Amino acid sequence: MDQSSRVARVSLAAILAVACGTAQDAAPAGPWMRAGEVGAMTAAYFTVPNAGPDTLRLVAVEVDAAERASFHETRDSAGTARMVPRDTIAIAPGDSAVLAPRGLHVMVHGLRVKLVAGDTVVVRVLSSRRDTILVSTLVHE
Amino acid sequence: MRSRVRWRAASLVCASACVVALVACRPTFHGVVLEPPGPAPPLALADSTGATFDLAAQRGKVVLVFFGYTHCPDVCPTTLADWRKAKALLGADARDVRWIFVGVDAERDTPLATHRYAARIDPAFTGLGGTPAAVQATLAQWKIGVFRDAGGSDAAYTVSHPSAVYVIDREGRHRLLQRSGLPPAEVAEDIRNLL
Repeated sequence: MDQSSRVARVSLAAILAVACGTAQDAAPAGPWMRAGEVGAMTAAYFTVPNAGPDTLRLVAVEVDAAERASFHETRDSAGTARMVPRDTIAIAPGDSAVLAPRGLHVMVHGLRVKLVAGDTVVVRVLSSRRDTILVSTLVHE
Repeated sequence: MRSRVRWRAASLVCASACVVALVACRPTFHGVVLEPPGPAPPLALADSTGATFDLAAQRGKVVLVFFGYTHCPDVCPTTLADWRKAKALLGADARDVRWIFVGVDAERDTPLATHRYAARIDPAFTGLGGTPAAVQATLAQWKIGVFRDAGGSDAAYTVSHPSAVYVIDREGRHRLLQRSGLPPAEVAEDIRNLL
């Protein structure tokens, strides 16, 4: 993918974010996704702040480039890494949900396309306020 | 009599100094040091060519072993990405290091798929896999338990597996366990202390 189309995809995501009314008090920071082959599982990471007055709950997630996505948490217990599904992620007012390697993350099931470093992928996060937070994630190796 | 006391005192001082010097010269590790280090169990699984990997043939090299699976979305690629950073920090010294990713999910982790998964992150990484019986035998020898997590479908289940990295020294002994999330600089420093 050349740089211009990459920029275009990022811009499109930004336009969509405005068009869909993404909550400005929950604008995600540092979004990225790990590269992967077609059919692979991978993960997306970002931080969602809650600058609003009420608890914000992230209740569902979708990824354009994949068959399915869900919230998961990696837990390390006595030296064993275990994957635990999370139905929702609650964020208290003034707090943030940090989705990061070896912790909370968006598990991305079955990539429809091969993702390489530099690609961008749109992740849609549905919140308890019935709004959709659009996250433009940059693919890293 | 007095000279004998002086001689003994001098000997004691020298012996103490030697002990202090020896302790001071011992490398400190960021990983958990296994004392005494025992011989690493065999790792008789197949590489991408179908050949059986021979851990004993790696004497003279430091070998890092991670047990994961190819449908692992988080810990495994994160660990391999940290290895890539550690390898870059080692520079030319990395030629004396082997990086082994073992696929524990024999139903999906063919040797070729496992190797591709690891080598996609760095071509120097080796992926090993095998039949369910071969993988089970290896895990038993390493005293490792893995299990398929509840839930998920036949195509999209997850697997619980060790989070730490096993580090084998140049004499083929299991010397260190590096916890999950050890910074790449510390991974590299431990390796350098074993080279």
